[in-house]
This record gives sequence, C-alpha cells and structure tokens, in this order.
Amino acid sequence: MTGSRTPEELTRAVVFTDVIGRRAIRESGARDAAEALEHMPALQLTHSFRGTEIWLRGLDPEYTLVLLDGDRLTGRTGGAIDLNRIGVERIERIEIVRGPASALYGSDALAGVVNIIGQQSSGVAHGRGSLSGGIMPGTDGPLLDATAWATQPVADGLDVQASAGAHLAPAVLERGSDITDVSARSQWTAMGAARYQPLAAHDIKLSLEYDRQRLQGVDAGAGDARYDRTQLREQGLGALAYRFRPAPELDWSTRYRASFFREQYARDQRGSSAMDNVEDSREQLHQITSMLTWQPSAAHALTLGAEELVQQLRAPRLTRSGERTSTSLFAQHRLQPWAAQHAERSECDQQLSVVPGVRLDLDSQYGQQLSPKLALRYDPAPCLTLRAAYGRGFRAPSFQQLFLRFENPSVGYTVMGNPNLGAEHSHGFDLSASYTPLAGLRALVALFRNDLRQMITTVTGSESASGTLFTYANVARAWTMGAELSVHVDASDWLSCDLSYTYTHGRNVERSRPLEGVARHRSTAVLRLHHPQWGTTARLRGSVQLGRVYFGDGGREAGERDGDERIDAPALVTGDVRIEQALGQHVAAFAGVDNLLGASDAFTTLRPRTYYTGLSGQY
Amino acid sequence: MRAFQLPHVITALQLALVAGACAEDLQTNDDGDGSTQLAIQTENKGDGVRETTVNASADDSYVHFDLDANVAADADSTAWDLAFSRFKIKTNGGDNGDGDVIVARLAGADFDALSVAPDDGYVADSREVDSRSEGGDPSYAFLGPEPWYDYNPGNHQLSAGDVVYVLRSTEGTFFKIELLGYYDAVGTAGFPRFRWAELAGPARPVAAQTKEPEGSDGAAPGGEAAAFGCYDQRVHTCDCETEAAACESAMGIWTDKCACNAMP
Repeated sequence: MTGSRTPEELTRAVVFTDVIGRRAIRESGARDAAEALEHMPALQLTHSFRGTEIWLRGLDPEYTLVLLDGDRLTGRTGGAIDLNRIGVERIERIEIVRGPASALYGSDALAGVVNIIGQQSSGVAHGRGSLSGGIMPGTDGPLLDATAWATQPVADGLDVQASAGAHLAPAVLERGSDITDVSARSQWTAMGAARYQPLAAHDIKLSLEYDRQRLQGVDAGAGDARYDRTQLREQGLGALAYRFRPAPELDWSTRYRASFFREQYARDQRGSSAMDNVEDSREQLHQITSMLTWQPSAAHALTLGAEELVQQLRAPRLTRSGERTSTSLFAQHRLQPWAAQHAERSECDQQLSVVPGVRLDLDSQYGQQLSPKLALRYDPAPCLTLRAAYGRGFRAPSFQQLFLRFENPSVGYTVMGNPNLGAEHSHGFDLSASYTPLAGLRALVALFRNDLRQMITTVTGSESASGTLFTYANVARAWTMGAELSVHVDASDWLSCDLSYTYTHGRNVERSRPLEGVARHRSTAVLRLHHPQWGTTARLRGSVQLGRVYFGDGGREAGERDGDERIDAPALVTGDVRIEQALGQHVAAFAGVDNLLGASDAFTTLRPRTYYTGLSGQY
Repeated sequence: MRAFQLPHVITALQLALVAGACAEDLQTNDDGDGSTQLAIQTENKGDGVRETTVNASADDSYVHFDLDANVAADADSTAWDLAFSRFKIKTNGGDNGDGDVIVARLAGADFDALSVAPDDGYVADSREVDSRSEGGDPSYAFLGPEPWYDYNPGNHQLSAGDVVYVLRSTEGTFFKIELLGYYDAVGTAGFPRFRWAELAGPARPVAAQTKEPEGSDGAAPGGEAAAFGCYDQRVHTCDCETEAAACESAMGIWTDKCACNAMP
C-alpha cells in the first residue's frame, strides 16, 4: 500500500488510502490516469495546454507527489505532472493517499501521493484490449484509442508482460476563434517486462517502457500574433527490482529505476520567424531504493529503507544544468499493542495501531530535511474505525526556481532563479472516521489542515539592464483546511452508488486572500447499475464545483495591487455516462458520452461533449 | 556533498534510455521576419497627419527619428528628436541630448481636436528612476513614472495608453504625437507605431518643469503604503523593521512579498 510502502490489506491500513481498481477504471471508460481520477472525491483536476493536473486538498499540483509503480515520475512541466501521459493500458489501479507523506517519500508529498500501479504477472496467461472511436461535434478529427495488455508464462517461474496503447484526440477551438482551447493529442506507449521467480523466496523483475506524446495547438500572443505550438514529450523508463523473502516475517526488496524525460516545445509564429522559439528540456532521474520489513510478531512491524536519488535537468532557460544528489533514510514502526492479547482475534475486538515514522533526506541542493510522522488507527467497534495522523512535508525548490534566467526584452523584465532557495515546509493534520454499519454501507468523514511555510514566490528584486528583475524567495505562507464526506451504498445486487462532498478553504497569507482556483465546495456522485443475467453495466458519474475564486488584472484602477480583481467563477457541473454490454465471456461492447452536459469553463479547458463507442476483450 | 558515482551498469542503462528517446528534433518554419525591414516607415494620412512605424526590435541600440525632416537620423547627429529601442522612447533633451526637446503629456486628450500646444506641463528626459515607476524605468518623458503604454501582466502585452504628447523639437517646432501600438501586422513586438502632426506653438515661451516630488518608497499609487520588508535569502526570513537602504547594504531583497502586514 502507498500509505505504508509495504504490502498490506486495504482494510488494515493505518493511513486511509483511496483505491480505484481495475473494474472501476474500465467501467468509467477512462483513457488515461487523468480520466480515471476525474470524478474521485477529495481532489480536483485542472486542464490546460500542458495537460491535466491534480490538486489535492486545495494545494497546487507541485505539492502532490505522483508515483508510477511506487517510484517518482519525472517530467513536471509548470510544476505539474500531466496525468494524460499515463495511458490506461498500463494501469491496474490507482492509490491516493491524502495528507503529508514526506516521511516515506521525501520531497513533494505535502498534499498527498498518487500512485499509479501496473499489474503484476501472476503465472497465468491473461490479456485484455480495447478499441474505441468517438466524435466531438465541432472538431475536425476523430477520437481514437487502442489499448492492449497481456502476460504470458514462458518457462517455469518466468513470465513476460507487454502493453501498448495509441491515443488520438483532435484539437478543440475556442468558440468563434482560431485559437486552441484543448490541444490536439497523439500519444503512444509501449511497455515490456519480465518477472522471474526461480524460487518462492526470490522475485526478480525487469521492465522497460517508452511513451511519446505530441500536443499541438494554436496560441494567441501579444499584438494579435498567432503561434503554432507543438509539445513533443518522450519518456523512457527502465527498472530492475529484486525481492527476497527468506522467512514469512522478513521481506527485503531493492529496486533501481532510471527515468528519462524529454520535452521539446516549439512555438512557430505565423507570418514571421522573428518570435519563433524551440526549447529542448531533458531530465534524468536515477533512483535506488532498498527496504527491509521485519514483522517478528503480530504486534510489531518494522520497516527500514534507504534511497539514493540522482536527478539532472538540462533546459535552455537555466543558467546551468540542474543537478541534485539525494541520500535518504527512513524508518517506520507499526505497533499493535493489543494484538498479542488477541492471538485468536475476532472482528469484534478493539484494535489499536500506532505508526511512528521518520525520514532523513540529505540533499546536495537543499541540505537536510527531517520529516517525522505519526499515524494512529483505533477500531473501537467492528463497524467503526478512527484515524488520526500528523506529518511534516517538504518540497524541494525546482531547478527552474533555482537557476532560471528568463528575459523578456519586449516588455522589459527579467526573471532570475535564486540558487539560495530552501525547501518549502508544511505541517498536516488529519482526523477521520470510517463507519460501516451494514455490509453494503460505508461512510467516511475526514477533517484536515495543512499549514505551509517558506513557500516560494516571486519577488521584485533590483533593476537590471533588461528591466525590472524578478526573482524567487521563501517568504510566502498559506494554509488549507477542510472536510470530506463520502458514502458508498450497495443498494442491491444491481445498484450501487458513491457520493462525496468536500469542503476546502485555503488562504494565501501573504496576499490575504483565498487560494486561486480552489473549489470551496465539490461534490461527486457515481451511480453503477449492473444486471448480471443480461451482462449489462451502466455507470453514471458527475461532479459539481462551487466557490472557485480567480484574480484578474483589473484592480489597478481601483488602487489595488496588480492581480487583485476578484473573479468568482460560476459553478462547474460535469458528468459522463457509459454502458457496457457483454457479448459472451470474453468480449464486450460499450458506448458512452463524456461531458454529458456540454460544460465549458473560462478558467479550465474542457473537452466538449464527446460520443464514443468501441469493443473490449479479455482472456 | 560529494557527488554520487554511478556504477557503470547504471550509465549503460542511462545511455540506452537516452538512445531510446528517438523522436525527431522539432523545427519551426522559416517564413522570414514578416516585418518591415526599414527602420522607419511613414505614411501620409492627410490633413497633415502622418503615421510612422519604427522597427525598434533590437534591444541593444536605438533608432533615431527627426520629426522636423521626417527622416531617420544618425545616432551622432544633433537633429534627431525621438529615439526608439523596444518599448523605450527617449528624446533629444535633458539627460539624453543637447537638442532641448521637451514634452508635455496630455492624458485623455483628443488628438484630432488638439490644435495648439499647451503653455505648460513640459518635462525633459531624466535618467533618474522615480520610485513611483512600476516598471523601474528612468524618468524619460515617454517612460517612468507614467509610461506611454499600459502593460497587461496576464498576457505580457503592451498597448498604447490614452495619451497625446506635445513635443517641442530640436528646431523649436511643436508636434502632437499619439502612440497607437507596439506590434507589427503579425504580432512581432518592438514596432512602436504613432501618428503625429505639426501643431501651432503656445502663446508664450515654454520650458521644462522641475520634477514633481516623489512619494515615499513603497507607496502604492493611489493606495495605502505597501508592507515592504527585507528578505534574507540565506536564512529565508523577512525583517519587517529594517529600512530599504539597510536591506540593500545587507545584500537582502527589498520586497512587498514579506507579508509584513500579516505578521503580528
């Protein structure tokens, strides 16, 4: 589990973890990780020309750590990982941990962790695939998606696995304009893996992945300029993992992963080459993680880990190559003081779990960081689970914030990085209660608060030959707090639904105003209808966002600081529906409508109503 | 911290991954600069009004213009009246030249209706930076503290403000000038465009005024005093008690982002 970094049952997890499983992903019709997360509670997705970004608990995307199979993903652009990059073909499930998790994962895990996990080979031949096509009225091309995943045992103890996907989506133009609202996207992915288990205690896995994504659009520039924009992203991943379980109470794993990410950004001015621009950014990340879990008894489980991370970024706007080496040690101890008294434990026993943990990061760039955490779980009754957690999080300054040099002579300003930046910090508190009074009814109530200190923001520095100089400093503060309520109901064998409501209140202390773009109220609903005899499944998902505040530049005449004109965004209501009909044991046909209400929004780009249909199969 | 030495096997895998990144290198179309190659282009708009576009796209040199002769001028001549470099406009007067060019700024004036130069309100270029200048520009007649342009920080676009300038040239002739834009037909920045016409002189001789007293440091125009503080980038803390000069001498950053208003 992502919340403990060790294998454990979801129902026993001390840190509450949301899991989107394979079935839910398939039935949602998701084409990528972003669409799988679209109507999940307690998070917010925003869409822009960079892709789709996740906001957890009212905090910007740079405060959420995105993992792929437990290792951090490279390729943050504008501080965010584009979740459209991860095609649905390689996703088995997605785990979401809310709240600070730097005690286990280090930098960036202030708001939480999203872990996108692929399927393990299990010694059984298995495969699945899908082919679908769709249309978006008003666009000039089709929506096409093809995915395949398969695993096959090839020798005793040796399994191979492969997946591939191709995704094509047309551009969406702003109404009455030649400007792109949603970029055209073409993407393909390929993954191959081999898993070798010569003996029961040994498990070796090698995997290689490559994906490529091309985004294209037309942007407006100052003075009626038009730019044909192309973003070409590539990612290569190679991982080698070894796991050794010499005894039931001992589990040792070591994993190395190399990631390579390249983004080319070309801006081609129409009618001129004067403002053409091609930027080529390359990032490498090498990560070695070794973990030992020792569980001498039911009352104790100790996890020790060490991590070495080498990161390099070369980008044209950096004054020098960004390089960082980080050595980390972490430990956590799961203590169940009453477990020994209940060797023959029944579900009626009270349970208490206490998990203290700490992580020390020694980084060549930002120095040392100590991230403690404490999580408690108390089950006073079989149907009630109470959880409390405190964690300290941090975020290392990005290489752009450290080494950027960007001059805009046309309007006379320069932005310079600040190599003296330190890490941003947060303290996060969580309280939650899970209540399961009936087999088909689950409810969760959670309260949270995050306080961020030494946040990095832009400040005005001295003058330069290129005009006003802006730089970065660790001076900003912010906090978010809120409440989450979710209910799952299995009304009958054929009907189930999930409802959620999230209240998020955030404050930028430096500017004494609400956090921009954060939905104060967000509600989601998922209704699932399933007829086992007919083999028909229908899924209706929807979400409502209220209370988003943005700030424009119109406040200057009123004597306000730039960007202080408050804009209250209207409610955003989105939804989609999908119906799937089994055609025998292995094949199913499906059809659906995304953005059922044709919602559009001036503050986040949304695809218009989309109709699609297709076939899926598995064996 | 000592750099981490990668084992050879890691390097080999890294090279394999780099070699695997095999997409083509993106290129842009070479469709010329699409803009006028002439430094200055002037069209006659009738009724004595002319419209001039200056190719001021170079940020390391000025393009000089002689209004009296309606021609481009050499940098070392004494006849030039205006000079352009990107968004910066300087005049041949004050700290920038010996041509005695002075300029009056008439906010909200009607260009077409203006027929006589005003009797007062003239200033000459000064290289001092007025603390009220949001862009930190020197106090040239066309720049700080109230520049000829409006800047939109949302899209970094400059647009001409609603201002008519009256300029007394090196030859003592008065001209009315209205800036119209900053971009050429395809949106390339650095092409200030303005219309201008000769104007009847004022009833009495005019001269440059002395500069208005500045507001105090950190005072937002029209608003209450901003809460400035000194950011110490070594320890990432703000000092809200110190002064700007002391901050600079201590190598700090004097900024309004210290949340000094919010601090107890």
